Amino acid sequence: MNRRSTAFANYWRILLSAMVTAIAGLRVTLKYLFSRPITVEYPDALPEIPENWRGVHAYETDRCTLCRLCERICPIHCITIEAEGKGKDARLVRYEIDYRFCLFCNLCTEVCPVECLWMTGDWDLACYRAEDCIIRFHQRNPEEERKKLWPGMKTHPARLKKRTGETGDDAVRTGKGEFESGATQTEEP
Amino acid sequence: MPEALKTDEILVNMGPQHPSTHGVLRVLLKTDGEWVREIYPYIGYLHRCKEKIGENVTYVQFTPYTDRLDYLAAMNNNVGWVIAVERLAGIEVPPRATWLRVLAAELNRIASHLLSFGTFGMETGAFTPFFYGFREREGILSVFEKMCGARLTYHYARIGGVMRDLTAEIAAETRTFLDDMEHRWVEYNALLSDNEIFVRRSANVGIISPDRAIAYGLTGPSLRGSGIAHDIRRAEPYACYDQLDFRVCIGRGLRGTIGDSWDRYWVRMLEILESVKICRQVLDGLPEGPYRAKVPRDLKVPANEIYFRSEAPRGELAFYLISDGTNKPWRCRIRGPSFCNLSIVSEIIRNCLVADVVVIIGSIDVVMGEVDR
Amino acid sequence: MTLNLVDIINQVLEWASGLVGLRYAALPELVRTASGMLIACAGLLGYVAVLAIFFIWAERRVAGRIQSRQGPNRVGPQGILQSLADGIKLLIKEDIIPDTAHPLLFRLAPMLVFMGAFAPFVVLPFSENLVVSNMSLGVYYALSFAALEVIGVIMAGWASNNKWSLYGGMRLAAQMMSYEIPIGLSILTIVVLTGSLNLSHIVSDQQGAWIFRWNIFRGFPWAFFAMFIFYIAGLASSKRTPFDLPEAESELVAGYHTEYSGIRFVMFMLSEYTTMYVISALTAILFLGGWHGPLPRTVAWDGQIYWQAGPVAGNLIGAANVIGKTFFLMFVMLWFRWTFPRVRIDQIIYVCMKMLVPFGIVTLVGAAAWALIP
Repeated sequence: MNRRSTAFANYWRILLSAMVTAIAGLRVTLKYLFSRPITVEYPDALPEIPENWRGVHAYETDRCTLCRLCERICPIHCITIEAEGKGKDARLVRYEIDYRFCLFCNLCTEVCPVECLWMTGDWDLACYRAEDCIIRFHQRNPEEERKKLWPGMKTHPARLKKRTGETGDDAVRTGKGEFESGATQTEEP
Repeated sequence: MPEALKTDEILVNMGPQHPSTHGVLRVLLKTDGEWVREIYPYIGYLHRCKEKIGENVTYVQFTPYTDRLDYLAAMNNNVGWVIAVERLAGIEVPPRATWLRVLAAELNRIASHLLSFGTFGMETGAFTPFFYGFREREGILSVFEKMCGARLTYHYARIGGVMRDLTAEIAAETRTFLDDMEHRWVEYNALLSDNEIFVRRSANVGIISPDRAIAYGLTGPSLRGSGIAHDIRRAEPYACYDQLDFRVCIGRGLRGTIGDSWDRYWVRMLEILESVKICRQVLDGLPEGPYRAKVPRDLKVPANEIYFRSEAPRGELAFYLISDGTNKPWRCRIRGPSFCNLSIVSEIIRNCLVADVVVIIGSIDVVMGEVDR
Repeated sequence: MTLNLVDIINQVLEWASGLVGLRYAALPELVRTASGMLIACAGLLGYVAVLAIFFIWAERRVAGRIQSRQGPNRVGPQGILQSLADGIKLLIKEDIIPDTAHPLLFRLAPMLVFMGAFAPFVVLPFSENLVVSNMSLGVYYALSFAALEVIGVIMAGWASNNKWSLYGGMRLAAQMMSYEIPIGLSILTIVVLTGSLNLSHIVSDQQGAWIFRWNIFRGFPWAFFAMFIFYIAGLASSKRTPFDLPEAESELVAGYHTEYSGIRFVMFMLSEYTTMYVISALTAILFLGGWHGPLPRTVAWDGQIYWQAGPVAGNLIGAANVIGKTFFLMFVMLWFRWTFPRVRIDQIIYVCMKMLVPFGIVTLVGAAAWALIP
């Protein structure tokens, strides 16, 4: 770029540049003026939630083994579990997640050995009081919870094949509590 | 000026809540009419005791907290942290995971630079580039949604690998986005970068000379805007950056002096293109294999210490970790790049107009999450 | 003397009073003129209010579409009631006046600014007969009220007793006063070409040959460049981007009208859109042929007149032409706002004094020399 321009030449360069670049900018905005807006008109239209979205949890009370792994791994200690009895006779009393604190990091869902806790595509937690953000999962019906899938989801998470450290094809993860009934889905190829 | 006319220097407060300070930054301006003589920045409004929390949660549990440091470039924070822990603990990561981390980090670099492009435009008074930046970011965020299920706090890089594999569908969507990005980049230049009004607002404003930049510990585009070709991805390559081909973008004073605000902005724009190039190379050269190594849930790290630096969109993000054999760090020190980058404003904002203050702070592109932690 | 709007209103009142059995014409001349003018001005005020409502909506829709998003589209069909809703909201707000603000000047400032913006409407012609006052000094009158706005703004900045407002007010005073010079120079270019300060006269000089007798073509190149000088200087005068530093949100929160809320704030917004309209209308009238526009009032070929609009239709078509051009120019102002960044205050003055004024002088001298050539 020629830098030895005088102030006089500079003046004309600025003037010309201002006009040319102004028109270039106006062309860009004019183009988008006549393009379709990309707005998703909520609440008339809902956003598309893809599979594997990390939203509000779903929890099956009848499959939980009360191992408390999720409570221990939560970085912010927002899961509260209360159980009666010991060992095999342990019964769930309270399972609450406090969504005022939940980081939606999905460490708790990863660590669950029976896959009774997963995250759904539900994101709407708006409420009038802060206390309403604490969801009491022990009061929920496990049959209803099993129906909570993401909109694009094809299979229940318990059937989703996990690949941890294995090469090649998928290997179905088996373990105790392989889910048998209830979910409506097709087998993954 | 007659002596009887008493002119004072007044202190004006650009408070923590202000439409244009990037986040909660309070800036006190000592002004003489329209001229700013000195500026006193006050930080700490977003302090959330991350380093203290780091001492009380395990390594695995701290990874979601790193998302929230520089919340606009969460992937880079995650990658920096997990690589630091892996080096500390001697964990080997499968190559596919390394490449996926780089893809995520570079896509997030594009997203972060798009946002800085938008907010910088807003500070000079151009409102539309902000929306265009967000429209492009939507493409990236949609890819990230499919990759890991979140749009801002990804927690994608885990100790030992990444959270989920990349499917062919996501790869195709990423390629579509990358092609689209190159077209829009040209439009952004027509709209903002080359606009004479914008050039006159940002060229020759806030000039940081190379020696002052190094003295204050500037890193990232703010440093490279002053002409110094220091990029940690080239200087101390980590992940798979040594196998990738990209340029280190520096400011050359194309529109004003080397090291002015336009140069820093231009370095970010060029880096968007470089990141597009890197992402394409990663997608083409992605190795097969597992995407996550088996790491014990309760990871105990033998006593060791490490200082690991990575190139975040705003500069050198570094983690200084001291472990003591337990599953929690003994010391978890985070070097946020914006903290050092912000420190230079009190030196360079001298004798400039009030309108230039916002431009200079915007060109340094601070995110208070990193400054205050 | 041509009929003007006051005369039309008076005739309508005479006819209406005749229906009731009274004789309006029996009232003294002064009373009749005064009442006609008041009614005309009230009508214009209504027009201005509707205009502001429409343009605030248009601005937000255009802004939205340029930014790849919707503008307001929920309140009323296509969101046209949005500005009405905002206006109602602002009207019912509490009237907050800072304790330390000057009691009289704080209240007076918005009124002065609006007066300065609205007064030129009296001379703005929509057609030959649709003008409130066919002043022979129309141009001079319109120009002088811009100065009143400056006083109002300085008052607003000072009386708010707020450093930020003061900054905004001072910047704006410098800006508006400087830009009155190029406005004057470019208007003088047209005045020199036409030889009259009467706006209706200036427009009737542009009659004929469809659009090719417009001043920008008639007085090429002087009037052509004068139009751009006038329009840009007018942008600065109405504080629109790229010259909207006084209301730069990203720096001063809201500049000189930070402390104003409710109806007083509405007055400032109203006067901004009013000034925009006046500038656009003056551009249309002085440079773009006024009511001799794209819509023809006479269809003639080779001296043979095929169709000639009657007095009423002619006025309406003329008004449609003027309003159409004005709206287009206002749309351009909106377009500019959402495309360009803001110019800094010292650069604003640089552009005025070192770019617009020299070119304005050149166009004026050129037009004067042109006019001397027979």
